[in-house]
Amino acid sequence: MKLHEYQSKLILSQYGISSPYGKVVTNPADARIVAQDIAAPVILKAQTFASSRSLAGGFLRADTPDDAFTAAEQLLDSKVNGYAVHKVLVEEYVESLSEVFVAITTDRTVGKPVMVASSQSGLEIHNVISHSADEAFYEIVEPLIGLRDYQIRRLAGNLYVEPAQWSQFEKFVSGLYRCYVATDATLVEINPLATVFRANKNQLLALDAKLYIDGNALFRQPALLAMRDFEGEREDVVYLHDSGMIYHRFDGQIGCMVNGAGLAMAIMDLIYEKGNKNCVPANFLDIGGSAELQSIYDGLKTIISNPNVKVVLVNIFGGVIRCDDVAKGIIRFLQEHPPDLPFVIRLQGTNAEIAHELLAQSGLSGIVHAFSLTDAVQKAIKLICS
Amino acid sequence: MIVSFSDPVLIQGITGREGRFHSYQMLEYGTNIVAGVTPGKGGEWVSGIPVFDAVSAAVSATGATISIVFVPASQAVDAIYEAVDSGIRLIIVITEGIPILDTMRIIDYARGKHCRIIGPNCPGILVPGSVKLGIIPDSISRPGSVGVVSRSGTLTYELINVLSQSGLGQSTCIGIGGDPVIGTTMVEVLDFLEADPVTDRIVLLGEIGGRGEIDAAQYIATSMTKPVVAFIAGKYAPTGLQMGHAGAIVEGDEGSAEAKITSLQRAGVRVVNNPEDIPSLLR
Repeated sequence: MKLHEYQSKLILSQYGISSPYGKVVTNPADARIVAQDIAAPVILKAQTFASSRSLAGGFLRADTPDDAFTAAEQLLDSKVNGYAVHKVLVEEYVESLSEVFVAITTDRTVGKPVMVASSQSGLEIHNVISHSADEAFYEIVEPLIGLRDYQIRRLAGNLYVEPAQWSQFEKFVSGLYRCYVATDATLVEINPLATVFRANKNQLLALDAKLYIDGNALFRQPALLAMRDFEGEREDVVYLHDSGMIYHRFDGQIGCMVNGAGLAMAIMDLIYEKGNKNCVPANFLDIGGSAELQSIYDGLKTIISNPNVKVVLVNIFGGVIRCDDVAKGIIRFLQEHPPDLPFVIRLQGTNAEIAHELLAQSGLSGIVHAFSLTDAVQKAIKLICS
Repeated sequence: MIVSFSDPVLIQGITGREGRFHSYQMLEYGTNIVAGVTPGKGGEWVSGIPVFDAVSAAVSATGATISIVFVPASQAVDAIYEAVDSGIRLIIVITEGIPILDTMRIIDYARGKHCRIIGPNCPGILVPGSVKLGIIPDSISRPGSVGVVSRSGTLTYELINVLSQSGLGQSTCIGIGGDPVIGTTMVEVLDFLEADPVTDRIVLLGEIGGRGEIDAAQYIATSMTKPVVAFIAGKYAPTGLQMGHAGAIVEGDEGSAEAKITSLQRAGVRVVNNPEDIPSLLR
């Protein structure tokens, strides 16, 4: 689950990480008021999940409150890399003396958290890791022990942090790790972490912040879950998370319902291989291991709520799932919502014969039986692209 | 990873829906399930298996050395710690949805105690005709000499099904799981299959996310003699989208299907576009 910059900064402030003063607004008049309050140049930042917002015109500087009004108007009316802008963060504009990149994420290969830092700020973390090979510094964190102070000092040395600033840097970075653990984050990124001069001394400020929360941990992060911005996430994504299903909507015509992520991806790949631009997947839907009757019902309903869908492909391999339960769900759905679409159904595994019999005896029209992955994909494509 | 049909097994979370169903399936197969554990349900029986409140009690009473975990995600890590601390040497974690921080900690802990974890979010191990530790449907399998290593659940079943239908039986099938951090890697399973006298060729089922298959390719190139055929799912998955499995996501440059396929091909692995084409390449 992604959190916006303003949300991330708010949460990080609880762990000793300071950011420039700012407030989130949803209309230009409020932007003007905040700018008046700050009484200094401000930067207006589109709060979207688009990457590289600054490069895509998502950041605008305003030197007067009236400029802030205009800038907010412009941002709120726009899309940044395809993401609509509903909120703008109006923040005091800050001149930095120097900037670095610091992040904490998971090293999948090692299976431990890793702190990544670079004296080159501004790049996305994946670019830092792949392109800044010589300039990126890594500290693997022992998951049972945590980030050690000496690791932070080593990092400070690598980044040429002034010794006078080490204690501040240590507090800051250890706060990042505490946040990472307490919020079940998969990514905490401060990019850039700036040294600024204020109140007669050098201070560290997070000019930008990103916090991504592990989807598997949301059950124990109710306060964070409450901050979820469904609207701001890609508009073509519908979350069926409560039921354990994962759905992503695409632009195609073949609706897919599959049990198992690897199998769902394989079906998607096969459709692309064998189809053409008029018969590609309309969605990705993994109904997971234990599909209840209700889940199948909800899954199908979601698939056909997409008006672009011209055929539905159901491929269920029953291991945990019982194929006759799937058949019952499909039958109930089609009886209650007789759609104008063909359904290509391939059920294999536990109780598959019973399932096909049930479908045959249901009297429903528009059902095409398939007997292998390739068969199912070819039949679905043929029905709409022959 | 070397298991035999007589190894005593206990099931954690046995009284839950999944635990009950799969314990019964495993018993039917002949798995030596000697105990179940669900805190608070000690004294009950599930399919003739005695249930204990604690793993240590179950181990004392029965000598179980292997645990299969069906405990729900919110409590799973505690159950696994309990198993490690009770002397279990192999833990197969079926549960999906365990927080990544929990997984990182428990895998590190288990390693320190010389306990192997397979998974989480995995279907387990199947040695057709011999051992079923998990949920891989045995009815579609048959004994043979093809080893299978996979990150997937149902895609693995599809593959086993087409292998069996083509007359190519399986030696050992191991599902390592769909999470980003896992207890047993593809390389470790390949190492086991290379040394296994029953296995003479291998199928690798991978997917987008992480670099497990790239590490596997390097291992295959330097240390393996047995032929490997592979399928990598997610060639058409958009960047940045989590495709079902927590571990199935292409992030920036890392984890794309293309990179894995290229890497495997360079190591001499034949990679198919359709898993149903695998049997013909194995002959």
